[in-house]
Amino acid sequence: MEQNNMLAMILAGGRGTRLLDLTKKNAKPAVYFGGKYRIIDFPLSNCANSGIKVVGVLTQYESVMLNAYAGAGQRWGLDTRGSGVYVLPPREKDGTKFDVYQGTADAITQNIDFIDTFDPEHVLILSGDHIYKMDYADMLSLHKESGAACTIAVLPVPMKEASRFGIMNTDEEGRIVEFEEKPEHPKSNLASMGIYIFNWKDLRKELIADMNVEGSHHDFGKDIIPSFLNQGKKLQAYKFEGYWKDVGTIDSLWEANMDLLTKSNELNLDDPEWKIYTEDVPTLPHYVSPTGSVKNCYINQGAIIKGNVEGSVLFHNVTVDKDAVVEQAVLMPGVSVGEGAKVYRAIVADGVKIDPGAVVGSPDSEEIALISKRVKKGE
Amino acid sequence: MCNALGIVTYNDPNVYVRGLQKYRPIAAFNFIGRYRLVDFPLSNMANSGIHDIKVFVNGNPRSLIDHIGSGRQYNINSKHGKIELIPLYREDGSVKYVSDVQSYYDQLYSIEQNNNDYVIIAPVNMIYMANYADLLDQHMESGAEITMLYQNVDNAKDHYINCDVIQMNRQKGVLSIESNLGNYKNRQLSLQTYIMSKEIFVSLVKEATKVSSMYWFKDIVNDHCKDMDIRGVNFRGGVYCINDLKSYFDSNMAILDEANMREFSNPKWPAYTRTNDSAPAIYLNGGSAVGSFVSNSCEVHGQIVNSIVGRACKIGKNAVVENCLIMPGVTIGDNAVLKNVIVDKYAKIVKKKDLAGTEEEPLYIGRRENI
Repeated sequence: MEQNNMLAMILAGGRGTRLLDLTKKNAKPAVYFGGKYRIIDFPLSNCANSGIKVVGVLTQYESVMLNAYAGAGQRWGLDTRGSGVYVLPPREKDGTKFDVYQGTADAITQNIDFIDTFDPEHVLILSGDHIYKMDYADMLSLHKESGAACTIAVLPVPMKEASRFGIMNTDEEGRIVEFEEKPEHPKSNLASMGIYIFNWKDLRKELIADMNVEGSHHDFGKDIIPSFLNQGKKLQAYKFEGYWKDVGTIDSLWEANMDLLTKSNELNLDDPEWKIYTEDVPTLPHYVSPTGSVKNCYINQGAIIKGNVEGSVLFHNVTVDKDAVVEQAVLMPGVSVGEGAKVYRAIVADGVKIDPGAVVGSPDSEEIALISKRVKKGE
Repeated sequence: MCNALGIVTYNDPNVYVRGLQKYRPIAAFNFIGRYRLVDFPLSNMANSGIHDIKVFVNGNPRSLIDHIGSGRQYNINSKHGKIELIPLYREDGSVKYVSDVQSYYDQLYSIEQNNNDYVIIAPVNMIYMANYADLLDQHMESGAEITMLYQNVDNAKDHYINCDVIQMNRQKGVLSIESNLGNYKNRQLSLQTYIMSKEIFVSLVKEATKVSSMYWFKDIVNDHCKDMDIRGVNFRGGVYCINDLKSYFDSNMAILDEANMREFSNPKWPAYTRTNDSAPAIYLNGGSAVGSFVSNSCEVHGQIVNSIVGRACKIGKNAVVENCLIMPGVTIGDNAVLKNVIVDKYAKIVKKKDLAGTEEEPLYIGRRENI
């Protein structure tokens, strides 16, 4: 391995149950975001843009679609010699019993042989369910500089929300002295982003030891990091500043989409220096017919708008028919909104039909409606 | 699979699009905001199962090399098929009047080696969506030696000037190919699309080079109208012929009509192009569009009316863009008002606030111009 000698492993096996029907037939990393992307495009594009050449994607829950999607490495430019995206669902191995991944750490343990074939100095552990742009090469330089066994990316969160996160307490140099999972009385506001760089030698040893620890959850946050701390190993915090969102619930997924509707949106998906790559669909640019109107929207190519759309995010191949009203909604690929139908404050899952005259959600509702089945008039 | 070699070819010097052609060959012209004209013959061929395509280019090939690349985006199997870009080259640099036949002759060895039995030739300035596999079947069934596509048009007096038109007998046998001089309203416009066996193609190319170095492929076909079975097939779909600036403008704007638009958004027959991996378009407060195509990565603060806007354009506050064709990367400044204007790539309209052409004569703003 050339370049920075770091291999990335993306944990993409989670179901994301709080996304309800969006993840019924699909793993969370494959969920759509931002008009044209899937969540996993973010860590994959970050890897490609950070000069990482080999990426393993650990899949488990409803992985067929995700395996095919992530495996097409050319989408992210990860198809040159010596680079690649390797999809790693649980597999049967010689001499061990075949089993699903028991936890985040176990997923890596079961792939020690895979990582060893590349002989990396460092391993980057990522989760496949966050929206953010990060230069992992910059994080690696800090990791090397500090001489830590593990570097953890942390995000300053508002103090009053800190008790919802895994909180890292650090000294002045950013060395992590304590880790508290969802503390009642947080001492710091630095939340773990679930992004770790390990020296492979250290991690490998720890993973093998963890296999036989009675009662271990085989989880990075619950077991591996606390154990590193107990052993007095050096853990460094890497402070990240910028947009980061865990889109684990319908509300947060909707909010993150709505964040894109302001020009000053921090995420800026249109940065030519840090593009987010995804599957391209062969479609015309989006079309607004003579009867259509669009106001404060984020619209991908291939959408056809004949009705009135405001404050919404529209994916490719969405159609909004005449006299329909769409407000503060996220319409995923292939959604069709029939003539005169009304959609307010909702996420409409891909391919769903809203029949002519049907009404979905309400403009004054606090709740965000998730629509995952065809809606008929009067329902 | 379709048993044919695809040839995408260039036009004779009768077709010249003022302004745009100074910067790139017709094949590379922007179309409907995100395509280049070459995408359409290539997509038709790819969708028809033609996996072996030669693209002949006369003019600066830079933008096409970049655009076509490995050809992967056209959905062609990169192992057993290929798209080959063949720029015209002459040692003395005089390429302007080199005919298509001369270019084919240069490639004759490779064409003869190719294991497809038929050849399908398509131009880049006639845009249509057609299934060549079906047309090839029809050609084989008919027993004709050459099949040519045509369309009946009733506005040939002031359109398609200098384009090829054909005369046919009642059995659709082609009697002659001539230039449209605008003398008649009703003509049979040639779509410059030819289907024939490779054997016939090769012998015609060889013969034409012997007759005259000025011979184009249509000339040798015309010579053989009397002794070969050459038949016209009426193509009934939409045809957009680009032979000057006005027709380029009109062809783009015609797609704003929903029925025409549908022909280009058929998921079973997609038009492929190179992706730029740009984000969706954003409409900010005050930004709007009606009766228009707006490409990805655009930032719209102003009003877009009945226009086509290419990728990554910025439309300023209170700006109005009406009946315009805006190519990728253009900046329209705050308060600017444009009507019937073609703005070429990367131009900036910032100082002058009112620009207007007429529907008959759209105003053209050159590439990277600052106005």
